[in-house]
Amino acid sequence: MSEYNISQQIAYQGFNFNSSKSDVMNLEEGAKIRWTMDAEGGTNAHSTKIDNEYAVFTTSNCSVSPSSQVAMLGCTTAGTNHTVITLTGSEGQSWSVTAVYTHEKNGSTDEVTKTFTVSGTISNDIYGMEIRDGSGNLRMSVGRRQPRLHAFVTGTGSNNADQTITISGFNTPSPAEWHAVNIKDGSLYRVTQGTTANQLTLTHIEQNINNFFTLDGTHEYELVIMRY
Amino acid sequence: MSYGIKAVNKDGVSLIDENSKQVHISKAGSVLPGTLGVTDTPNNVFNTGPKARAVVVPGEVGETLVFVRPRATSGNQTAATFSVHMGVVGKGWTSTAATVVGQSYILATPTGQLKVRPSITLSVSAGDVISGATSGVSGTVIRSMTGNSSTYIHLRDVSGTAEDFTIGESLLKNGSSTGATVPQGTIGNPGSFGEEMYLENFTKDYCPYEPYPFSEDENYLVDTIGALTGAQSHWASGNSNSLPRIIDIETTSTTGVYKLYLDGTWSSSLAAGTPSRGILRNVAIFAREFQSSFPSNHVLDYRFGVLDNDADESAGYGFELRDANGKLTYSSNRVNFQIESITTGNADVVGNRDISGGNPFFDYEVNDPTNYQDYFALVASFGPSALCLEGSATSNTRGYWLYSTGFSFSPPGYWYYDNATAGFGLYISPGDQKSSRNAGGIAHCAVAFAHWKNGPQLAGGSYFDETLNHLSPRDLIIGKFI
Repeated sequence: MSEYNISQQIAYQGFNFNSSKSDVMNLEEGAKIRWTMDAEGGTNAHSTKIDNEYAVFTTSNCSVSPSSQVAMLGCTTAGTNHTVITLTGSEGQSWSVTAVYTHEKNGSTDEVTKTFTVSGTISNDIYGMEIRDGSGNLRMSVGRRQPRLHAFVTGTGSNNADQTITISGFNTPSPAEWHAVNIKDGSLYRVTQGTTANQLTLTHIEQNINNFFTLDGTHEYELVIMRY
Repeated sequence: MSYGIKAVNKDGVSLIDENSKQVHISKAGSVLPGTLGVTDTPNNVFNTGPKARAVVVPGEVGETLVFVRPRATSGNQTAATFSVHMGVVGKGWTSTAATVVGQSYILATPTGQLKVRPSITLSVSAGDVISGATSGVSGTVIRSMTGNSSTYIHLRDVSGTAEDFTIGESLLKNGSSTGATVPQGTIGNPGSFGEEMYLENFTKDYCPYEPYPFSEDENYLVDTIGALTGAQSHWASGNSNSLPRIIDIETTSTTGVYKLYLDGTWSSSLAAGTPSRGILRNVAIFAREFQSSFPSNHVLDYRFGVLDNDADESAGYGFELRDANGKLTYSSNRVNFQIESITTGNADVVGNRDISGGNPFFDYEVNDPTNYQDYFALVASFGPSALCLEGSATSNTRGYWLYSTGFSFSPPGYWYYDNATAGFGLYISPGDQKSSRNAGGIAHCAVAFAHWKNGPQLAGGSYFDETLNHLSPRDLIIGKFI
C-alpha cells in the first residue's frame, strides 16, 4: 500500500494550452507514493476531452504501477484514476517520474499536453521509528503523527479572571505538537494556548465582550491535553 | 511520570513521547445527527426533525479522543455539516449474586434494570414511563431485552418515594395497568439511583437546548470498563483492592446479567443487590445545522479512543510500551489514527448573527481524494462557541442563535463546502472554494445549531444585535485509521 500521497492539479485556465505541474518529494528508499493528477483545478465543469486519455510515463530510479490506462482524477477510464510510485534507487540518488497526457482542446480537435512531474532525492536521513503490522501496513510512520493523551487537568478558577495553568512539557519543543480543550460542562473558560513553555492560559469568556452580557456558568475547568 | 521511549521524526516532532499515551479504539458506531433546538414550541420554529443523539463515551472522563466522519450508507457521498457537543451521564451496576472469596469477578446488572415476571409479556418502547403501583417509583425506559424466559427493562431517571420498586407490586406503563409485577428474587434491582444525563448548557439562560433524552448505543461490555467501583458503594468492602476497578466485562448465559472482572479479589463475600458507586461517563452529542437536514443517505461514524490495555490484534510480534504500572501506552497491534495534516485557524463567529456577510473558516484538502471516505477528523473543540442576540421591534427578526465549531466535509465531485446541509452556517464566496471539484476537502467552521425565536421586544424602529463568542484558535486534525 502507499505510504505517501500527492495530488497534483493544473488550473483549468490552462486547459487549452500545454501546461505543467511539478512537485518535489524527498523520501526514503523504497517509499511508495499514491499519485493523482487533475487538469481542471478551479472549475466544477468536466471536459470529456480528457476522458479515457492516459498518461505516458517516464521514470528515473522509480517505477509506477499501474503504468498503463492511468487517467486523470474524475475522468472516465478503462483503468484507474491513480498510480503508485515506488522509489527503486539508492540513498543519495535523484528520482523523478513524469506523466504526459495528450488531449484535444475544448471546442477544437487541436491537441495539447498536460505534464505532471514529481521528483526528489532519495534520503534515509528521515529518522525516527517505523513499525508495521503483519500485512506491511505502517502502524508508525516517520511522516505521520499520532494523537496521544498527555494529561487531564481539572480545577476551579476565580471569578472573571484569567487563569494560568502549568502543565509540564506543554508547548515544548513546539506549540504545534500540543492542543488543549476544555470539556467542562458550562465552564466560562476557554483555552488560550499561547507559546509559553509549560503553561497555557484559561481566558474568562466574559472578558471578550464590551456589553452587558453576564453568563450563568461555572468557573470550573476540565482540560484534555493532547499531543501529536 | 516518565515512561517508555521517545521517537522523533526529522522535523523534531515526536511520534511517541515518554509522557503521553496512545489511545485504543474501544467503541465505534454510527448515529444520525439531530437538532439541539430546545422544544417543539412556537418559539422554536426551526426545531424540526429528530433531536440530536448522545452516545456514551467509554473511558474515564477526560481520557477519550473522539473521531468522526460522515459516510454514505447508500448512493454517493455528499457534503455534510455537523458539530459535536459533550455532556455527562451517570452509570452504575448492581450485583446479582453474592461474591465468592478468592474470585476476581462479580455478577451484576446495569443500574436501573428491572426484571419482569417471566409469565408476563410486557411490551415497552423507549420513552415509556414504568412505575410501581405501590411504591410510586417510576423510571423512563431506555431499552428492553428479552431473555429466555424474562423481559429486562432498562430504566433511566428512576425516582419516587422509595429507592426501589417493591417486590410483588404491580407495574404501570404510562399510568395504565400492565398485569406485570416485580417478581420475588428479582435479579437486577432497579438501583439506588437513577441515571441522569447532564449537558453542557452555559447559555441556558438565553437559549436552553436539549438532545434526545436517551443515549444511543449503550454498550454494557465497553462503557464502564476502567471505572473505579469502590468507595461510597460497598464494592470496596471485602475486596483486596480498596478501590476496585472494572478491567473487563463479559456476557453471561443470563440476559441482563454481566460478569465484571475487577483488579482485586474478594476476601469476603459481598451480598447480592449491592450497588457500585456512580460511574461518571461523558456522552458525545452529534448535532446538525439547525435548519437543514443531514443528508438522508448518510450517517455520522464515530470512534472513541480510550486509555486501556487492549490491542486490536494478537500477531505475536510487534512493539509495545508500558508504563510503570504495566499499563499499555503504545502497541503496534492497534489500529491507529495517523495524522495527515494539522491546520490551525479561526472557525468562530465574528460580528453578528447574520454571518452571511462573512464568517471565518479554514480547510484542508486531503492528499488521497480517491479514498476520501477513509478520512476522519479528530474532534478538538466541543460545544457552544457563540451566542448571538438580536432585538428589534418585530418578532420576525429578534431571537437567540447558538453556534458551535464543527465540520463540513466536501467530497470529490462537490465544488463547495457549502451545500443544502450547511444552510447559511457557512459563508461561501469564490475564495472559499476548493482548489478543484475533484479535491476532497474538510473545513472547520461555525455551525448554527440552535435558534430560540424570542428576544427583547424593543420600541418601534429600535434595533440591536450582540455576539458573545469564544474566539479561540482551533485545530483541524485530519487523518486515517491504519
